[in-house]
Amino acid sequence: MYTIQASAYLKETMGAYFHSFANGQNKVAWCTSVGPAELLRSFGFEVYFPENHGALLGATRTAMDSIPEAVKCGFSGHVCSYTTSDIGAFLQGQSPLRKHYGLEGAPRPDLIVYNTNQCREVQDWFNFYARHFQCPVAGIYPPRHLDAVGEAETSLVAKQFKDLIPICEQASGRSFDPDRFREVVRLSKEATLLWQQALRTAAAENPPIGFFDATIHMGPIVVLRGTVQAVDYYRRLVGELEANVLEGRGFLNEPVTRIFWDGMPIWGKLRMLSDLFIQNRSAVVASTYCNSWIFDQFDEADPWTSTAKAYTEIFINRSEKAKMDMLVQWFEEYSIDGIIYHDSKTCFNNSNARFGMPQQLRDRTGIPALVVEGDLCDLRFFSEGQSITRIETFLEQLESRKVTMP
Amino acid sequence: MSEKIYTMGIDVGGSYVKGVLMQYDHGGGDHRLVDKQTEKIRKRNPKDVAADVADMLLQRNRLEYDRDIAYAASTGEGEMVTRKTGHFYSMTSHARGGIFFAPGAKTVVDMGGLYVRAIKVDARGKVLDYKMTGQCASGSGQFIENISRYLGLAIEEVGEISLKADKPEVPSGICAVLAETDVINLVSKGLSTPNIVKGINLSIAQRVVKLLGALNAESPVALVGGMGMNVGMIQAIEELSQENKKKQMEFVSHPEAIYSGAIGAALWGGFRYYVLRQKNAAILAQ
Repeated sequence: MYTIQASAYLKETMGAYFHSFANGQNKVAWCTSVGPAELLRSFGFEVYFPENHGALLGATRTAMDSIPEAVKCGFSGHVCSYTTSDIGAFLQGQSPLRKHYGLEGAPRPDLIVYNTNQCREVQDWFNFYARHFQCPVAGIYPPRHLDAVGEAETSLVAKQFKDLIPICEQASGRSFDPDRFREVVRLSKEATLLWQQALRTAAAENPPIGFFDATIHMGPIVVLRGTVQAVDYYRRLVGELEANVLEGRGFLNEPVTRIFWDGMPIWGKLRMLSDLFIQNRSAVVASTYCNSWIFDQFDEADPWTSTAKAYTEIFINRSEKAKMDMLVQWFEEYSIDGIIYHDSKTCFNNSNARFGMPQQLRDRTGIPALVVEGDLCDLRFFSEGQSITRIETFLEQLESRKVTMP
Repeated sequence: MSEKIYTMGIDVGGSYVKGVLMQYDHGGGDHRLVDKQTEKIRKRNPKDVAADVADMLLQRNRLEYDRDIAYAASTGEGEMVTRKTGHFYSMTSHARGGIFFAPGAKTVVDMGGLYVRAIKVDARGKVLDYKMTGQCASGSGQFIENISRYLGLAIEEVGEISLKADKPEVPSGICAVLAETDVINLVSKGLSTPNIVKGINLSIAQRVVKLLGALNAESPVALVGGMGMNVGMIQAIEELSQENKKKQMEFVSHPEAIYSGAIGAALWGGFRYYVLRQKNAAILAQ
């Protein structure tokens, strides 16, 4: 059976990350997953990411127990289920961190920073905690839905990053160190390029990593950007995956179809979906989600502008036109036969099938599309039976385009 | 020259396991449905239900699996069928089954327990294109079962009773839960059972007609799957379709429509049996 050996090191790396909060010696900053983590790390903060906690609640299928708690205090059950499950679990005093990492729950924040480059929900989510902990909070508000990110937009965001300096200095008790910031950006860039290299191995005929495994192996690029640990981890992962490519070893050898996954993972159904695709000899080789943590614009020689540009240029923050251009490029890079759009009921911003993109892209590329309704955490929005039938039907049709029926 | 073999098709669906025994006519094309069996899964293990269905077909026809069945084909939740020669995708099977019931059909509408699927097919039953309903259960056969239970009707009565409607009222088509609430409201308003049932058939028929439009479906259309036996549903689809003056469609239904997947799988199984036999003969001749 094919396994990725680096998984053991991943467990160790993520374990060490969470245990770093346990001693309580360092100041803690909370940050959105595509927020200015490098700047926060340069001040010596341990950085905690509530979205990662939301994903854990989804993956452990405990989100449905906690969401009603958030609904009770006024959050709609139709807004981001990362937000509602995380807040609900906090109100209940529950966390999967206890079982998996021995932490009582989220570490107490000294500073909270969010970036609305993904969605406006993070603003309300993070402000809830700022009110609760009576801790300083700051937001980055980049321009959204752009075809291209130009100098004006980059300067605006870079200025907002710089405006964080006094807030960070006060919360951390340290002065801003430009050299330290450059070094963190350099490490972040190194890790992100390694992550890109890891994902690109899936372009091989026998892909050694697919979307479902990548959602697990992306842990360090989300929570440990700007650290040596992330660089070490991805060096090891890339080494193994590239060796597998050379030896022709993959999680599915000679897949009949190659699929692109757009949108959020359905965290509580990763295993079920992974098995379903493999049973149908189909490999989900690439995704917008995992590619969203590639920040190849990072440049330690120009840390402010390059991080501002990279965080504003992410897929989710772009226009439909820019998104489609990126998808077309990925289709070619990974030899895609079909795309599945996950229409996530509580994640409007990461659901791209609502304004005609599947039809437009099909007209442009000829690549068939399927829309699967579900949710990132709230499995009450996901019908397993119906989704299996829809996915199997889609794969069957893709296969028949490639293979002649008996 | 014509040669006949027995093939078996087992279709494991969301609510029922359907099994057929077919006489496959190689060369003649005069395939015959020999026997059929449907079992509701209820709370049983579908694997056991599938095995029971196969056993019943074999015993009733005094056949032995190893000796008499040239090809046993599964479809639907195929991994549930332990005793089989091969598996066929569900859409492929229903498309072929549709052509068996309605030779010459250019579109097959598979109306199952969990979804409705409109399939464009060629003369052999090969899938050319398809469209499916969305996730909501209010467009599914299971929804009709739930409502019939609520109204105190047997599922077999739903079709006939719908034909007696004179003033149907269509419930919410957005969501099964809302639709069920609407039905409770319609009952309390005193609406007659035929009018409620017809309204539900119309709400699902609306989805079917929309699907056919989106697929740019061609006539004749074979209606298959569990809901394909519901005469009230067929009437509702025909009525709504007639409202589209630009494109008149001919619908073909069959009282055994629930077996389309099993029949299609058994027929593809027969086809594959001879393809494999030919291949093996070629290898032996080398």
